[in-house]
Amino acid sequence: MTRRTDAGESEVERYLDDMFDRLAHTGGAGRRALAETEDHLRAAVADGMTRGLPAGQAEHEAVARFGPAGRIARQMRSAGRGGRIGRPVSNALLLAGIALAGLGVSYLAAASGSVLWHPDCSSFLTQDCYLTQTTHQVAGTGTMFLVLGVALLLSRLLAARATGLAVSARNTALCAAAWCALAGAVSYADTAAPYSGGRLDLWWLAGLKAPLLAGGVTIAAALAAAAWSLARSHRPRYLR
Amino acid sequence: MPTFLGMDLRGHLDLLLLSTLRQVGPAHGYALISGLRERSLGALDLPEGTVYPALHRLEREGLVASEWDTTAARPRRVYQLTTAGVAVLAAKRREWRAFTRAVQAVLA
Repeated sequence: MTRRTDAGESEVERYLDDMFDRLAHTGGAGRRALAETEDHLRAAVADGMTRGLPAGQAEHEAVARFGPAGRIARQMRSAGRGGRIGRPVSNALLLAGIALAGLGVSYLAAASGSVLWHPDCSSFLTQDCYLTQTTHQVAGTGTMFLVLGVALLLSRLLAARATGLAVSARNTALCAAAWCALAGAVSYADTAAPYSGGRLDLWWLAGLKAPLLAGGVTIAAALAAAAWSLARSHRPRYLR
Repeated sequence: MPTFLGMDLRGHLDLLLLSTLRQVGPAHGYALISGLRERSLGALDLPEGTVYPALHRLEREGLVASEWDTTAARPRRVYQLTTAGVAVLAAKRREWRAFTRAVQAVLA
């Protein structure tokens, strides 16, 4: 009995692909774990075939005996250096990075919108135009937030590589979904507010005073990220 | 989690791995797991993948050392006990014997 897909992948190969995805960004520790997993599975398959099992059945048995890739990859990440400290630090960097980058993009979107909607004040060099000054400040703040957010996300990636702690794609998707949903909701609330000139007086979220479209886009992104996250948590193909 | 008759084996996995390594000598993961299964007469049949994270943790703690064996058809990571690992194994054995004596005394 063989268990190969149309693409000709064996069950062991599919398992290794899954493990590879789950150990992404773990650097040398992940490569080593993957190499050991492959060596183990190949040895187990050879062992099974020596006992007279057909190749497909030997592969199925080897994969089943090794355990679910999600659980094993999680344990391998935890066994990596800095697991106990690294995980909360990693999650904090992820939340802060996505939040700052999201704020930065929304500030820049708001600044761009102001320039487009008020062509009389489209030049940042026109210092006597109050709106332009405000736009300039918003754009500057947005750039600062965006740079800080990207720096935090990059530092998380580098730290994960250095410590062998895997970046969780599921966490990333869930964080992105949460922040996008929040940004979208604030944007909608801000646009639809019946007072304060049709807008909430969220001066500290000036950049979130984005058009209705931005809210729709971020909420759509949130739904897509959440769906992706849920899809990743489904039962892997090799166990079906 | 690795279990035996429904009991969580995580607390004992270190002792089992160190002890098996002591008995079989330098070994790669697959041989180590096979050795563990054979020595327990098939009773300790763990999800095999759970052994590698445990080995990595033991290595981080300095109780085992490992290196790639490139003489085989496929490169294999070979593990062996360190001096610290031998000492910890002896201490864990003493603890286990004291624990089983106490449980035996209660059950008797």
